[in-house]
Amino acid sequence: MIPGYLFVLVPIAFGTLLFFTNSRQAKRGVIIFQLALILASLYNLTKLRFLESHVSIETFAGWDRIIGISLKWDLVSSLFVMLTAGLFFFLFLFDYRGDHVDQLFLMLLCTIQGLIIGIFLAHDFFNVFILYEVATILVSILIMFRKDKQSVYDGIFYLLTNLVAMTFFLFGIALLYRMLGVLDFALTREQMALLSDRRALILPYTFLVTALSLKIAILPLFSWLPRAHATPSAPSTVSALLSGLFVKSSLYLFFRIRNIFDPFLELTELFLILGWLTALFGALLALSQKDIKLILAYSTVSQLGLITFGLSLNQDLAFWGAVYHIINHAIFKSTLFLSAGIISEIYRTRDIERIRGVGKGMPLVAAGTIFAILGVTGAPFFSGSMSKYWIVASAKDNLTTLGIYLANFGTITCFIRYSRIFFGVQKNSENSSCSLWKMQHIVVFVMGLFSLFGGLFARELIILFFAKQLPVDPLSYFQKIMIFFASLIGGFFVLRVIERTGILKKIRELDLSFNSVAAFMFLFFSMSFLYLSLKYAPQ
Amino acid sequence: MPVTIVFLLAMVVLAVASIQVRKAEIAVIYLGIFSLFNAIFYLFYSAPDLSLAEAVIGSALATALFLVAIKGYTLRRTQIKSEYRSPKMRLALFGELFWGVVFLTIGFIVISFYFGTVQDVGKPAWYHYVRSFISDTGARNAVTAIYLNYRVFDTLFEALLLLVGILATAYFLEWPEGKEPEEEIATKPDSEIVARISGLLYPFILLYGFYIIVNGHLTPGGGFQGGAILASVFIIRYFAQRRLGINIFILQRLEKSFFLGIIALSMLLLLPEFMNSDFKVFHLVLMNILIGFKVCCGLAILFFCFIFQQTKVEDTKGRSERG
Amino acid sequence: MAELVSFIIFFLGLYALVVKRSVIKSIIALVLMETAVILYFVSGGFEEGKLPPISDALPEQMVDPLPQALMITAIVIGISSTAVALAMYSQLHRKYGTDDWKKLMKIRLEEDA
Repeated sequence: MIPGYLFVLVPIAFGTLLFFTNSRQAKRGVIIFQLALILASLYNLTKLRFLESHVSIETFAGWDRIIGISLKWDLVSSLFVMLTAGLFFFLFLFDYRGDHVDQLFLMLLCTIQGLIIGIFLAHDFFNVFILYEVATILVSILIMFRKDKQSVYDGIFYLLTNLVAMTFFLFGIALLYRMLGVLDFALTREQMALLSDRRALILPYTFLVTALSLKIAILPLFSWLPRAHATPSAPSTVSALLSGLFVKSSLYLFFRIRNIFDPFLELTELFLILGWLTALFGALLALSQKDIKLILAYSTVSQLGLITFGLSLNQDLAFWGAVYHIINHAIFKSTLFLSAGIISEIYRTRDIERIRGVGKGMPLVAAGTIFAILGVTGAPFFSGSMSKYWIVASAKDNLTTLGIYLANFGTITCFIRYSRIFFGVQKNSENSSCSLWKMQHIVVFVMGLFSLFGGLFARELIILFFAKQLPVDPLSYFQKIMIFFASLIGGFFVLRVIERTGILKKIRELDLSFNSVAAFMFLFFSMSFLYLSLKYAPQ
Repeated sequence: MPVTIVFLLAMVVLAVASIQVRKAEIAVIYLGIFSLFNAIFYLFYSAPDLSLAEAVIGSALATALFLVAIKGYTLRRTQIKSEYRSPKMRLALFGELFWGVVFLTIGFIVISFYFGTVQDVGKPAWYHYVRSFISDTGARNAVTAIYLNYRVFDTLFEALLLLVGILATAYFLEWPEGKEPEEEIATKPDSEIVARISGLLYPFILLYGFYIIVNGHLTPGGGFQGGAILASVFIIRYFAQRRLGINIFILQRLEKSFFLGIIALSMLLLLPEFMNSDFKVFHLVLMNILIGFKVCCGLAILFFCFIFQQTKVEDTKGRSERG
Repeated sequence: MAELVSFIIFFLGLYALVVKRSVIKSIIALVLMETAVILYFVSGGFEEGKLPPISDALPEQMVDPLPQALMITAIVIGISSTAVALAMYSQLHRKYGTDDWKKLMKIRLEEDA
């Protein structure tokens, strides 16, 4: 195995080195570097796949886990590392000729790549904290990269909300360390078993959960995400990176920390409900937006809710479905953001009502986008349908099943609206003469193909990567296809009705100020604290 | 200990003051005193390293940054008064009261819950560190042993964070590219006496900073604290003579090179055959020196970015007032 | 006692984030919260009479060095993030001409429309 800290440190060192080159060399160097990184992660993945335990834990400089810092490779994290390497390769390729690309931009991207890989591998509370702090500041630079009026507000909003969340996280770590005396994930769990009263864990858990809920944008705490992911001036690669990959690292971390606490304290019901509400509410907000980037960002909120829901179902099938959905969502959401970048640059607007005729003007981009949309809505034979199928299949009662279909119905309706951009005729045709680099179109198309590929070979891929045999029952899958088409038709009619009422404009104008977000954080904290302390009240 | 109680009470009062005072400058001063009290307080808890760091970085440097950053942006006193009389403000005061009650209730529940449930199940990490750090790392200061050897992986990100923070600051404050900023900032020194006396001070501060850095593995202190002290030389020099005296671009390049050096040096820890007992100590000193220089460059850049921004703001203001 | 005070200061900072509408006050509140956590980390579980973790003391007498090492990191993190927030604040003030969160939100919404 290639050691994990190299995967973290080498991109960072490489990024810093770029400052000592000229920009032409830097761009070429980055592409070659990304290819090498993909190969390295592939090598580690195969090595790990053929290990007996599928787990490898390494410590920096060979110290014991109690005193040093350890990194953990398992099948999921190593696949995420490969996903990171692969996605960044496409992003760099997409931006190869971008005029905003200079050494600073490349350095920021390389550094954040190292940090994301670090978060996937980290196995130590404080290590996670510091990785996140650096990433938060880096992301705020990326959001404000063009320093225009709108992005300044979005940037500082993002920075301050996330810094507050990280203080919560640090307080949680402090409480844990004071009681348990270790920072390593696995050791923390061992030490927890020694506690005489599990109620001692309630307070640290609440602090950690509040921080992570903001990071994964669960219901009352999501208002930073659309602003940050869809700020108008940010390069589309940045949006794709944030929405596709960066929030997934929080989701994965949330899941792992929940696993540590799970034998002692359970919050699953709460997150089941919150995840579902987020999925529904996110879809509704996505439906009401006019800006294509904002539609995609709110749809990310909705999908994150769905994944949280899947992870909280506490079943093996739903877990692998959710993990697979994380990967799928990373691929199709970055495709969508990249294509939205191309489209808005060519049409010089992001207003969904003013973009028409993409299908005719840019066939490759349109094809890639349509594949991605079919993926995100869960159309048969596309990647989203498989992962959503596994989440639905593990739902025990009808209510949960209905809930998922309802959330998916919202997504479908919203993307019916989105897909209008392909049809019709562009009114002012002078813009379309603007020619962009063809490579960008090809990148979007290839990435779109992945979501078809991921759907057709879903079972094989899961066996290949996770060594898991997930069942697909033809009858219930067929049933799901029927429901998909029914939702499609229903979506058309609902959209017609909703658009006439003018309710969309009202929803669009809902927004929270920073103070309200802080208030919601406090309320979230107190509610989950009260919930846990009542649930585990001494008899 | 009655002394600690006095300190703690003072800290709470200062914290309340810093959020309740209307004028931002005064709030920042309260915050600075709050940090200083914290720094002294850490000494009671046998944390001299931390105390030094908080005093130099948290108290002195942060306050200076705040003051420079908000200079020129804060409201005039008359503006504050007129805002406070408006009916909207009264509504806001009502809101503050409401939230105050909510926070008091929840805070009381949380704190009493904490003291009711908190328990210890041993300190495995402590047990390992205090027994073996001298033989493991060759350091005589366990804090240095941890951040330069056991948990150096964290320290790398700490250094990276400083680098990124400085990149961000320089980027947002729009350092003019290719321009020699020195001339733009240069104005006349405020006072001849300050200039002379600070001229006498530099060597001592420099010496003290180096001492803190080089002896980081033996006594309290280390690269971060010493680097901050070294950076203060640049800052004092600026206040005395009103010029930078060094090219900021060279400083930026130097910082990045030092950072690469730190990564490379920490990689040596992965080669056990290198790390014999003599080299271990040498390694610690070298790491501390590199970190010290990097932090010094970084904090100096940080400070000058804000200073430069401020002169620019005042310039435009002056021009608009004249015009 | 110190643990109690760190909880109080943490909630005080959070309270300021909720009710104070000025951006600069939010940054100050954030610094307060960070300091509160540092205070908690150092004082939590401290036993009377422990000595600084420097080799003159016997191992059993030494205080836990790990929180101190971690909190030096936290202080450096604090200064960098404060600096970035302040730099952004100065941009924000120049572009929007106000430092009131509510007014900022309104202007930002108008920009969108």
